[in-house]
Amino acid sequence: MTVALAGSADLVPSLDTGDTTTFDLMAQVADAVLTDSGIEAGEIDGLVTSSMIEAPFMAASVLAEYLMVQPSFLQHVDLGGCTGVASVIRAATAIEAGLCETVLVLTAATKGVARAGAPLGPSTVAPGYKEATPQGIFDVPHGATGGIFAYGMLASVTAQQCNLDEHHTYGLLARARSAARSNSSALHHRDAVPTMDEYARSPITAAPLRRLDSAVSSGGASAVIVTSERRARRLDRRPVLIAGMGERHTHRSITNMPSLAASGGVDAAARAFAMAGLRPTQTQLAMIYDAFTYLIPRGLCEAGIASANSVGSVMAGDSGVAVNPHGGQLGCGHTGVSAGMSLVTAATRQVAGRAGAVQATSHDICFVSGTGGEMSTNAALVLVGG
Amino acid sequence: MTGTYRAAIDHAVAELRQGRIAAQRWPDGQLVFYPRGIRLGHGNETPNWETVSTGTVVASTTVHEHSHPEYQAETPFTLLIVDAEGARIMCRLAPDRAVPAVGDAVSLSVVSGARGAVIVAS
Repeated sequence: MTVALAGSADLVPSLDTGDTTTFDLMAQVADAVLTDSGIEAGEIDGLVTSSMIEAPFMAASVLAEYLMVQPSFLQHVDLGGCTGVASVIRAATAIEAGLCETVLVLTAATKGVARAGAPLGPSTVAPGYKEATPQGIFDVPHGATGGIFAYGMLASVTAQQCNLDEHHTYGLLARARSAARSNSSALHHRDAVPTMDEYARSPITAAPLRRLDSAVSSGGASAVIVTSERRARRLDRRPVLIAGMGERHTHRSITNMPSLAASGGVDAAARAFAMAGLRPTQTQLAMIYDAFTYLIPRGLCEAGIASANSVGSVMAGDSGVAVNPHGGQLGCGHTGVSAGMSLVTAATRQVAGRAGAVQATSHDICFVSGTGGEMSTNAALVLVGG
Repeated sequence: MTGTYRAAIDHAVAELRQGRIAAQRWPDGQLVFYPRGIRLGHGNETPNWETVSTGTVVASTTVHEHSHPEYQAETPFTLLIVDAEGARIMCRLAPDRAVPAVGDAVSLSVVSGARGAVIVAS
């Protein structure tokens, strides 16, 4: 493998991005990642972007024009929370194929409270259903919309598989929120860590999930630069090599998930470790997609980093594997389609040894997972320090 | 003879409005719901329609908070994914029933309401 991550940047998540457009978030985070990496704007010959609410058609072209870049590789990725990891995979693949050398990979999501539309509901599927999807027609009228219900179903399965009780899930929340106290770019940086009593009193949303089991929805943006190892070795920091990549996409609606006991993340991780020539148990640093507390034990087990028997000690940080040491989405905020990339940017800083107050001690072999939709889209990276 | 997305979906929606869950039985025996206009590798085949009335529970959750006001007004309600010979169906648990366990058998019916047909398990 000859491709590396050469820089990272995040905008601080915000509960209300007001009138800020996706153009602004994209451009700000793009400028920040160029500054962080030391790569010149003129070197950018590839652009990969997530969706923009202002540009439902040809978003990647719209953004490239706005940023005044004319790349030889251009891609719009629309895979929900899996978008960040999958975007890095597409950028790395294009570099390996010789289509480009240095790719700007951007994700951003606004969260304008005042102008937020009603969530997908019956009015959007009833009369006009012929323009809707099967999920909109057959699932949504039951109230199966908004995503949390699906993760409630999945959490029930995970709780049984990993023998979890509320002390485990509270522990995950408390560790994430404690880490956020040390992370000045976390949404919850200044917030007190909830107590077990507050967690136990947090209302159930979709059983067994409590409000506090969900990462808090926010606006934000995250970006990395993916470039050749050759270029990365001329920068002023340790290269973060992309050693393994894998994906598996199994469904859109959870109704059609082949097995709720095992997502496509199992195969995505197996492929990434096989490509890297590493065993999952060699992982030193695990960046697990954590829109919900329960996704951490599930992600660790699906990747083979932990087993049902060992997951308790891995979650507790007693196994030598650092899990989301920057606080993850539970600590930093769930920045919509950009949330998955926030784990890639954190991983990039960790492996390079540039994570400051939240730096993990052992950071040479790092696993990153991306999970989108209702565990619909799954992607994984194995990163190693060069 | 292959069908279209619209024809397959229209038929299933019309059947739901008549109180029936219409799944496709393809010549190889596969039961499919929601129906498809075409199945890859089976392009010259036509499925028969079959009414589904039972299945087993794949997963459930009881929803207490919902982001959409119309569904919020109906909380708490329980959503179930039901498997019928490999075909998967999202439905509501009948309000007076205890939440069944994964693998339990349930019977399915269709209730017509203000926003169309809702599949109910009991």
